[in-house]
Amino acid sequence: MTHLLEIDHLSVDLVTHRRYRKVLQDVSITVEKAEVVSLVGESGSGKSMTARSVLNLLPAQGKMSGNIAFEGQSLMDNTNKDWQRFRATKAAMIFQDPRASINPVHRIGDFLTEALVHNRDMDRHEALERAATILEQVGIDDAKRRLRQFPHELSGGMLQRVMIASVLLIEPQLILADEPTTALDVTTQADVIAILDDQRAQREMAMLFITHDLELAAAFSDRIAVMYAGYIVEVSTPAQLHARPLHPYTAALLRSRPLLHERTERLPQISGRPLSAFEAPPGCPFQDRCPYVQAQCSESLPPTQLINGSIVRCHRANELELASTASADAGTEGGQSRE
Amino acid sequence: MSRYLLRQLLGMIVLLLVTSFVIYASLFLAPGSPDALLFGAHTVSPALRAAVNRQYHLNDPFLQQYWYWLVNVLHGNFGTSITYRTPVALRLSAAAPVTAFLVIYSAILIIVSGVALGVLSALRPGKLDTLIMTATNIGTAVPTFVAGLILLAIFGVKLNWFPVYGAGAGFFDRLRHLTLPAVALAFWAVAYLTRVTRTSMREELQGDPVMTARSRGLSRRVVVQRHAFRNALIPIVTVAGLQVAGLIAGTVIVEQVFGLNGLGELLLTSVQDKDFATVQAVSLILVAAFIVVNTLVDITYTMLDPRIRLGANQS
Repeated sequence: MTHLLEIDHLSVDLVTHRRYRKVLQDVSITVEKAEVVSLVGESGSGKSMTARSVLNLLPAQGKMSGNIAFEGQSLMDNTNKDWQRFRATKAAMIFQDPRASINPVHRIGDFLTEALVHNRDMDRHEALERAATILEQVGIDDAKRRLRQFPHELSGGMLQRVMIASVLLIEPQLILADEPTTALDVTTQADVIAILDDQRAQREMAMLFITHDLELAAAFSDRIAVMYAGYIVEVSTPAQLHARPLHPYTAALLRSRPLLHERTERLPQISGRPLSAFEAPPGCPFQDRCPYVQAQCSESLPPTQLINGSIVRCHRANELELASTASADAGTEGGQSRE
Repeated sequence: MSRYLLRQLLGMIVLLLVTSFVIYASLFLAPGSPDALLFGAHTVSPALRAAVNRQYHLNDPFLQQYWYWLVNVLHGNFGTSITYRTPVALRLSAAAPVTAFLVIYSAILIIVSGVALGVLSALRPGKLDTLIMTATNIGTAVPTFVAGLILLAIFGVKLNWFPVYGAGAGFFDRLRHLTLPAVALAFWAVAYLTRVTRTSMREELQGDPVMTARSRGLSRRVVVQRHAFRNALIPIVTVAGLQVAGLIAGTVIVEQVFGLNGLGELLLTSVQDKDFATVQAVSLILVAAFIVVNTLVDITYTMLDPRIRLGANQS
């Protein structure tokens, strides 16, 4: 069976301070048609770079190795023209901060229609008609007037809806959403997410959703991939992830969330600081912060294993029994092991 | 939008009035007086002196004198040159076209080549970029009068391609005569504008709007034109405007080097002759041109950046 998107052993190197540094290591993940997969992790864990790799939008001199395939076709030998065609028709990205990403000097109507007009030779008036229809679908009233306005005349939430509309207009099979609500007010976040997921589902588009919000990811994705230091450490369904996390990092992330129905004096934290891929020590990237670390963890990189349908990259995944809430293992500092 | 324009124009008029006053007042404060200049070392009868003072309104209060002058200037009457006894307007009409031609010619050279080289440099990193940057490094370090003398020595004297003196008559002859002066005047400005354009383009090419445009599969041509260059224009117009305005002052030097009878030359000789009316008139015209160019730049901004238009409506 061919996957819609298949990322296979992807590694990415970027130039910082005049030398190549690893930002992604051996990342493998698939997205099926109409499926939502979330990439969750701390800043610098490589989630955004994974999404940008799919569109070949890495910073200058970035290097990719491994394979990315779309509908079974590898994209790695794409020419610039091939990439343009791919971006124009197959996959489109929603950026984090619409205020920065939507060009402030052009009207909303021009922003929405430029891809249709320039890539598909659509008549401008027809494109504007279509843009107005979609603006109404993403919950913007008075669409005709909005089309003539400039980005600074709209609120952040409105602008992100415009961004969503611009992606829907392309009618891609895959949406890459790079923290689409991080720059918005908490109150508008929920609206924007609901609209995005609703419109996507109606059109049966797949989505790779990037967030650092585990709850949000759990709320509407089919699968969640947890990233740490440029690696994917665990891939699971939301239910399974919450019930029985397999990687100590996932468990620690889940435990450090505040809970609505419980009072906590102090939220558990993960000691140490998040690492970038190039800083990670040989062996398991999480070893320095892991409460279950053993000698083998610094000796070799854990291979990915399949346990109960989940994918995990931990030497001790089979023996550890991890809890997802702090109260479940209160008193036994950091969970239990079967030994 | 029209309200913004109106405000700009009103501001420009107020500024012009203020500068006209400053120009008039500063000459009033300068050493020497018109009657001292007129009579020189001659002893004259008090009656004659009084008659002259009456003719030039020299005994009236300062503000009244300023008022007479302003009203006359607004009617196109810049007075009579004390030294040459000819209307100042006549001398201006001979000199102004030379300077205007020179400034416009030089401005076109600066804007066209500065922007073209800067964009080229930003889009083609590597050898071409290094070459252009080296050239602009040298260019920014060469003062206008040195550039003028070098151009004269090579293209005027040695190769004999261009005339070394005078402004020429008729459009094409003038173009030929003013090419070296215009290039000399443009020299460092082109270098500077190239650098500003390159930096501005580089920044936009790495910016978020360009990334969004690329992610939508737009062709490189559309991305560069509609997003990178369009947004980079804002700093480019600022610098280009300042430079074109600066050219107006720069002509004083170039006209000396190339023996052109323009406004700069006229200003210099009038100062030496203590020809009050002419100095006032030329200063006023140079300053007015400077202010007009700046206002044009401000108006251009509103066309380039919609956020400025909103700011005007809100206040």
